[in-house]
Amino acid sequence: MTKKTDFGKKTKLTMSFSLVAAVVGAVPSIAMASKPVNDPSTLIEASVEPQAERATRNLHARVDAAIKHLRTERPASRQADADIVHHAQWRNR
Amino acid sequence: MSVDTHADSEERGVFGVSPLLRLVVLQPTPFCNIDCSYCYLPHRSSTARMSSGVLEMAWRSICSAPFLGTRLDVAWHAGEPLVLPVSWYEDAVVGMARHTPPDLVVTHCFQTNGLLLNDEWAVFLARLGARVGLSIDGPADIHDRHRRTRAGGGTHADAMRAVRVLQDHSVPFHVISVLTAASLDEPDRLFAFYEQNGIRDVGFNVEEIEGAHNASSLAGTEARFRRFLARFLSLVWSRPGVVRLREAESTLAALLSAAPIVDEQNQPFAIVTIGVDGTLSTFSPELLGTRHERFAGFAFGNVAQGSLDGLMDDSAFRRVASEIRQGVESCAGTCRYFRWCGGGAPANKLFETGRFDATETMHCRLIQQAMLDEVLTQIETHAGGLLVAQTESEGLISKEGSS
Repeated sequence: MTKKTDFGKKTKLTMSFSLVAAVVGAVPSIAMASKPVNDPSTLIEASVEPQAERATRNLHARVDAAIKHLRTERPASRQADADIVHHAQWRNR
Repeated sequence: MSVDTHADSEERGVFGVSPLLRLVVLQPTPFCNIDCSYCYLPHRSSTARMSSGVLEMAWRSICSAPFLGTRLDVAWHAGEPLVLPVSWYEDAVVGMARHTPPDLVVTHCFQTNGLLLNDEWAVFLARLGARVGLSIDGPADIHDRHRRTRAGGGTHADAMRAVRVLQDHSVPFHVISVLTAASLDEPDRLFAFYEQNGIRDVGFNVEEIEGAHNASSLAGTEARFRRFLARFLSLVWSRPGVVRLREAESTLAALLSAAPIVDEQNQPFAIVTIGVDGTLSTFSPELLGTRHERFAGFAFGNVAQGSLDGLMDDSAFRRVASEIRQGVESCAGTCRYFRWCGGGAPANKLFETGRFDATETMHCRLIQQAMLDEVLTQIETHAGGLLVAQTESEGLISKEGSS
């Protein structure tokens, strides 16, 4: 959203927070989980796989399941990605 | 949008991406009217102010930069911006508008301690459509522990007065709270504080080891920090619409992003910082004005010397850029969180480890790793536990390694 300021310059009015609100605002209301990725190739052999690799695979599996869930529940939220990520990078101190 | 202007420059796309300038940090003055114990700014007692000539040269160099896009944030920062009068900014904005390309959308950003914020400021900020942030660490006992005047007095009461002024004028604002060890046992009080004061948008910074501040009370507190985060996020998720936490929202965005996250702090010229005297820097804004024994400084040029892309020829810039690039490549090769982080903040790497080519820091363990883990936990929890249960049953997750 933009508006014309008194200085004759188009200035963005909304904050980064409002751009991302749609994403997080929907999450607490999510009641149903989507089915997680079921890829046999990601099965973990805990007895032979080093801990660091297992942790990596676990993290990626959790993320995959979460992403699938989020996209199922709110596919439109991806549209704001660029703005959200931009404002996440450097935080005014 | 990427702008390909440096056909054979090594620094064009140091990490495979052409530079796109998104944020300019302008230092109108290094001075700050308070003296926070965790402040990283080394020259905050200097009362210098940016001259109109330096500002004009700075803005012209920005507007003629080949890597300028169609949107640009201007953050008035690196000191307390409100110590200069409203009239200074009115003149500045008018002067800048003369050189601003017609298709460039500029957003002015003010992060302030609020002590000088009054009706005149509120009217100006509203008229400018500025993005306004107040620095408030929570209830008075937490806030005043670190955010003090030079005489040692607390600043909480005046900061809260600024909240009321902005609310009275219907000026949207967010609050940034610096988390210290004192905050970690108080997630419920912090959440209640925001709720009771009508503060809906909150960002968490952590007490960093950076610049003039060479120690952090958060060192060695990762387990406590994770417990704090888990509790605070559970309140955010269970009370929708009360508090929006910037870090949670940006983590969700990172999860949903189709492309790997790129951290602008380690991309040359994505952020340009211009000091009060026109000195130019890039990468982490905190580098401006700071020193390190391994480097002569992080001022890579001056607005008086010409165009921004000329900085690429500066030997100090090339050395810093090369070491930062190596650090990001090391992160990419070793860190399981890299996909959602982008390689970390150069300033934190340097001031925590002494090198830009380092990998993991306290800052990234808290803000990137712990945050991602705890956001995932919230998603799993509020999906009725079904995600974890199903994934575990399919052998995709073993509990001991899930975080």
